[in-house]
Amino acid sequence: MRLELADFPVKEIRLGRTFRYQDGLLEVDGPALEEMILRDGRIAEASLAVVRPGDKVRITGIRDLVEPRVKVSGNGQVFPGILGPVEAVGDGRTHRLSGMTVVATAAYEGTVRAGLGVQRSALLDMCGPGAAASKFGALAHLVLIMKLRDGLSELDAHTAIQAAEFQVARRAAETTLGVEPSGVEVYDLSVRRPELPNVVLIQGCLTDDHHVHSGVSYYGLPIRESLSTVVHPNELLDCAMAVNATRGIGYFPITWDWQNHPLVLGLYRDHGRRLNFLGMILQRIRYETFHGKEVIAQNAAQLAVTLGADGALVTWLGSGNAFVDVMLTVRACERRGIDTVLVTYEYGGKDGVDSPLLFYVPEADAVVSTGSRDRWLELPEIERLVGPYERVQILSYPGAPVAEAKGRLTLDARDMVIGGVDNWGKESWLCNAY
Amino acid sequence: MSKELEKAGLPVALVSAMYPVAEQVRANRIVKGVSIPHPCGDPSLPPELDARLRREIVQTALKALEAEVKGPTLFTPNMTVSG
Amino acid sequence: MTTIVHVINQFFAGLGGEEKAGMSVGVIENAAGAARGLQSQLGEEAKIACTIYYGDNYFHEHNEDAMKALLDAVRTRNPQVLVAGPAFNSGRYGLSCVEICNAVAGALEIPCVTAMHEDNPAVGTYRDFANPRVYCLPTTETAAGMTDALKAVAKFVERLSRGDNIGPALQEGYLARGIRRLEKTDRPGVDRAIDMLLKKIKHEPFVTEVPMEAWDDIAPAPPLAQLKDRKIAVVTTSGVVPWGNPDRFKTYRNTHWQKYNVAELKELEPGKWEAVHGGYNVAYMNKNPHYGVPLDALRALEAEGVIGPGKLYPAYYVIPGNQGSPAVMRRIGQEIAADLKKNGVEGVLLVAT
Repeated sequence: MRLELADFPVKEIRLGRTFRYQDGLLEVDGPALEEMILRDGRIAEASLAVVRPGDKVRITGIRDLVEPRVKVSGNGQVFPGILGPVEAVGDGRTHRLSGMTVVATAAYEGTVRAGLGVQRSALLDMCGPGAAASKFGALAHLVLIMKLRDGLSELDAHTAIQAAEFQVARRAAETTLGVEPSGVEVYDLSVRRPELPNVVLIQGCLTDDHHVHSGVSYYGLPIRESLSTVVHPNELLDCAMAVNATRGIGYFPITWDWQNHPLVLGLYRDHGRRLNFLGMILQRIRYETFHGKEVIAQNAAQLAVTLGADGALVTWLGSGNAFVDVMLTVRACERRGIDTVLVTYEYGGKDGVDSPLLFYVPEADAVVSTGSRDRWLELPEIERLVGPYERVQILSYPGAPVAEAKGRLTLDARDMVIGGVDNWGKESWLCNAY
Repeated sequence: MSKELEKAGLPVALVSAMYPVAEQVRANRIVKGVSIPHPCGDPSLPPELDARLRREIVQTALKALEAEVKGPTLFTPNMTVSG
Repeated sequence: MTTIVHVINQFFAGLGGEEKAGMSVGVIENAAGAARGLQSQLGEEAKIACTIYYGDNYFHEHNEDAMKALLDAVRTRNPQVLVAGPAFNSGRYGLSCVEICNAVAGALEIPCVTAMHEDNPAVGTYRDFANPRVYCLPTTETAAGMTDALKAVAKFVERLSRGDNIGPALQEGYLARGIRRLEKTDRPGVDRAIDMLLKKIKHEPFVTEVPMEAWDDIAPAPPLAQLKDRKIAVVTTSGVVPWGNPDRFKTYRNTHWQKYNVAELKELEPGKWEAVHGGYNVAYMNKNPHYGVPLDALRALEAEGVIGPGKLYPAYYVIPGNQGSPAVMRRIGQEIAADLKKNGVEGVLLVAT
């Protein structure tokens, strides 16, 4: 599998009457996109907005972010199983519009009151401390503002929002057809050097079985309670992984994060130079019995051994008891002679004096911290709102009070900001012990 | 939280499916629960058997409260309640 | 010229050994005993205004009086920095140093420096206090390392009196206090992770960014004799509350608890209760709240006499436990414990999800 990723950087986005990419300027036909989105009867209203870094803007109602990509050669098309048929991807050439995202915002109430399947939306400031706290504060965004029809189930809401944002993303990327890219990166793992150590990435992910729309999907199929599997990293670059589009929250990686997975890109960069990147083990975690957790840990370790790994980067997503699965996986790998480094965010509470992690195993002697997810964040008053909400529920629970979205907001965790938690080590955050 | 209750002199029987986590945080009387979303019972059982299992779990917890322990101790209810 | 006060025990003040450990708090002008070693390391940079001493036993047996006397004595000298110890591997002495530093830092808002071996049990208390004004430097196990210890303390005192910004523990050489600060470093996490992995594979040394922790043992509370004569209560973190969530629990990071009366109830009717919790699938709990509050089983056991009549406390306690910070949960535990004891409860059934 050999993939060429051609880069078309975007410095500015303009809403106009045509679709065009030239010299870093992306122009999109606003009315045409709105019309395209509204063909789905589940979406009652749709409009578009453009924001850039430094704008005195707060985006509300954020459900997902996606980077525009399109395949120009090779098998299949981006977002396989979602926008089109299930076809193997990861080969040929794919164009990407870097430096920007498509932001899916939507007003949606949801039918689930609590637990894992409940809808959530996040915020993003384009200036001030809120922008500094997020990896998305420095990118340009094409924002979709949608209002869904009343009474939609979570599954309907998820599919409607996701289809809209992915269609807009692909349509935007199509402006690059026939244009010269500013650079092309080649992604090919076929050649290994036997003297280098073999490294695998073990990626924990979770889906709430009880809610079909939830969690992470592969070729559009939500990953349910299942044993670990092997995924080629090129499939991530061709947008084969997606997430629950009703739920935007900082500690849960979004579609953009899967397209630009920092650990995949880092291991690829060092492939053939310092290590052999064997690929990615996708491990569904958060088993609800301890027995299940032990089995999935053993299973992932066994797969790593079968692939011939000398070492593994272990990471995850989610919260709470899923971390037990992760630590047991580290333990299982170490016991099978596979050296591991765990990449994870920390807790610690408001003042950083609480325990950084929820569970410990002595075998986890090599941990990289991507910083804390639950330090408080004060957001100042903002000049302008973009998005479906004027008032926001900062805390999501039955009967939660609402606050004026424009006003000063005290967030009791960075995860209320999309991109506010560095899940996989793209940034230089960590926690230092004082 | 259970450790604060115990520090105050109250014996605590902690019912949890994540008993290794309970052991790690050094809770002293740990009762093995069925599963995270339903520690005291099993919805896949018919209602009378589910109720009987719940009773067994609660009784095990009460026995744990009556038991002398030296450190973290796991009490396992008899999960096979049919027949 | 910076003013320092040095607090040491009677032995290091040169006033006697174990037999004098009952001495109360006293003050000697300028540097005395081991404090003289510190003064010589400090040179002209700082002056030890006085040496305050106390007996190790006195401190622990008359803690309130000793603390008051110490605080008063320190206050009158108005120092910029306080030094206590070094305590090396003496647990008793180490603990008094940590407690004194913590109290002085709080009352006078000045930085305090102590020193002891990293395995001294008092280091655990130092970490629990997590006081950003208190620093503990590592020493050798015995007083054979006194000179080096005082040299390190003197250097640290100089930096503090200059008002220097003190960086992370690993860089600056003090023992970490369990305070972790979110900061940026010079390289992305992915680069640090790959470097760390390659070092580990090659058996080269590396430093983990999050050390593994171990929790303290708690002595088990004594068992209940004659269970049917004992009052039992249910506490749960499942988040089961009356439908409508009248007390506005969040689905995560709660900071308050409630108790709900079930005195008249033989069971919890589905539809009248709901589980407010963000961390597990609440569908089962909503259909059958007994999975979190097993009232039906408890009533059955009450009817059979396993639990005595009226011995099941008529309310259950709840806090949805999702993402509850340990510090908050500790406080909640203390508050619930106080309420339980006030109501004569003797044993607890704690159901966790």
